[in-house]
Amino acid sequence: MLPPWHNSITVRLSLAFALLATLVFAALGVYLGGSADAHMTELDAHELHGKLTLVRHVGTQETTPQSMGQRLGDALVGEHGLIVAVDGDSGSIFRWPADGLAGELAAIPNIGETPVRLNINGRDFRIVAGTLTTAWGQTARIVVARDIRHHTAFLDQLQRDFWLALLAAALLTVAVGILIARRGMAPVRDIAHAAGRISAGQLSERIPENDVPLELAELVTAFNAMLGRLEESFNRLSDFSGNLAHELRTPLHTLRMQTEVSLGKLRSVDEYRDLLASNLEEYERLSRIIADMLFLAKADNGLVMPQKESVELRELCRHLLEYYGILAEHLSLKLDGENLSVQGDRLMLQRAIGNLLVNAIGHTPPNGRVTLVIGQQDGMAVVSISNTGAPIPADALLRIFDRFVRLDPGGEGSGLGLAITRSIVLAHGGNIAASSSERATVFTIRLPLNPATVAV
Amino acid sequence: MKILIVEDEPKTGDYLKQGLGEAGFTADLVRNGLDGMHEGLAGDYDLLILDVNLPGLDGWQVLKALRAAGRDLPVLFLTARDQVEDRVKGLDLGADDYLVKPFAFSELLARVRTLLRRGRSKETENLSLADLELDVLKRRAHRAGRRIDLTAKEFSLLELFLRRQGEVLSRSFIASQVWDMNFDSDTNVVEVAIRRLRAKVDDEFTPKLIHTLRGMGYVMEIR
Repeated sequence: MLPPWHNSITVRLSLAFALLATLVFAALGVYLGGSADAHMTELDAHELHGKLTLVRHVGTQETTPQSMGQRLGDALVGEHGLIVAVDGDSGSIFRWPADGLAGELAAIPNIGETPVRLNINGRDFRIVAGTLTTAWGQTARIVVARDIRHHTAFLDQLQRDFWLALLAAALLTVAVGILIARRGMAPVRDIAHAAGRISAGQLSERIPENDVPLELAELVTAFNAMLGRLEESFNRLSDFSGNLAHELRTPLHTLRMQTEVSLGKLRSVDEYRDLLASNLEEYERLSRIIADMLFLAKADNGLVMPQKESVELRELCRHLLEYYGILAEHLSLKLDGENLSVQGDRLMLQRAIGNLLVNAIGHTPPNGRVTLVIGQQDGMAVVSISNTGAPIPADALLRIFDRFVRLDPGGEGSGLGLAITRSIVLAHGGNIAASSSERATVFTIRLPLNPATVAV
Repeated sequence: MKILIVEDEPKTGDYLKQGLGEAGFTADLVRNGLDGMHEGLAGDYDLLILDVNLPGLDGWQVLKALRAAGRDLPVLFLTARDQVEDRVKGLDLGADDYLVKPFAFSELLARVRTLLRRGRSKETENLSLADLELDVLKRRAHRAGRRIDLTAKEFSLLELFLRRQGEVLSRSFIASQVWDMNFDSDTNVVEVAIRRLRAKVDDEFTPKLIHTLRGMGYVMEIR
């Protein structure tokens, strides 16, 4: 289980800030420390070489070891922390300071003119060594060392101070980082609060889009768009359940009423027969609504799997015209277009196009015209069914494929026909559109063409 | 004609038995799959009406057992499910037809008669009722000696009525037989078509031959 702050952007951001600041400071510190150290080394080397030169100078001037020691001693008066040893072939010539470390240092071999740092008895020294040919003709070895304690102490102090400063800076960065991150995340909290206020009853609320930072604008827009879709579906759903209840209640109410009234007193056989026949009609209506609803519910859940076969659209339409044409005595019906085939379920396609045809016929006044045209466009088969008649108002056109939507309330049918048509077309991978003007109302179905025929 | 009904719903079963009896069949009713299987294996039935959802053995298992035992009587499935897969499963197992509840009783009767008729009587070439005569080969219709002009579909419709004299034909059955329209729609196409046929066949003649049974369908008979 991860700790709870693991998922906090604020904590993560401030820790990241602190880490970054620490890294940058540390790198800077290491660089500056190195520079200071190099500088000190250079200073030390300069001084050591100076002393080396001094000893050589004195060595070439003085003619005896004693006078050389005497003069060196004079020259080095007041030098603290400096150690000089000069050893000739036959023993020690000079020691500064006279006792102590000088002898020890002089014994260290393999030191050249490049300064070397050594730790002796817990004290740091920088040492150089060189040779000298004395005025009296001896070869002598010079060792010059400097106690660099005051330099290292300074550097140590510097480092201590620096790491403390670094720690303080890191803590400060965390604190300031938290503040900055919290401030930065404030709009997100605002959005969350706004989203929290929205419940099923207030789907019309939206998150204000004007004050939102650029980075969150996309999220807010998407969220609001989602709310819009939700609201629409929700409204549709509540309309739908209301409609469904009404649709089922009406026949049930009729059945109940007429049965109750009929049973209220003794009636003739004919009256009973009439009642039963009327009931039968209502049962049929109920059972058709339920079947249609079931079909739509299955279509919504993607359970309507068309049985795929090759369906000739022209033949299918001709067949439908022959059947439904019986209803269109006073209209002129026309079928036009290419012979295209699509993959799909013949029965379902019959039903989908049939519904449109019935609607078209039903909404066309006598002497009007219903035209079925089959064509193709962009690899899709296009079946358009147009009829002359009163245009459908624009707002009704928007809702026309919804369930239980009827243009003429109280008319025949359950108002599920177009919804079913649409479901079938969608299940076949197609789409459906409606348009209406003074001249004609047109429903257009597009279905993917049969791949076999497209290839030809 | 003996029919075995296997149906566990009490009311449905009783009414099926009564309805089939009144339609002139001898119908026996059992209420579970096991009895259905024993009766089907032992009894001498011409047709089996089988509910899919049964306690104990379900309809599919009963059918399997019967077919395995070599009984090849026609089987009509009844079910409340209309999934395509269910239908395919039933037909694969050797069912002969399939009805989804709720169905019209007249529809059931028509299907039962079709199943029982299958492979039995040869289709006759001349059909008649009272003074109405139909020459199926020449596609001609006469009534009281007068030639009646019919469209191709009107002829098919009349032929269906004459072949099914005395049977109640539901609208959906007529639509599927004559126009090959196999889905229920709430249009009155069949009504209009029958009205036109009547105008030609019945209006100027007596007795009337085509009768409407409200809520159920149409029947052709002399009344």
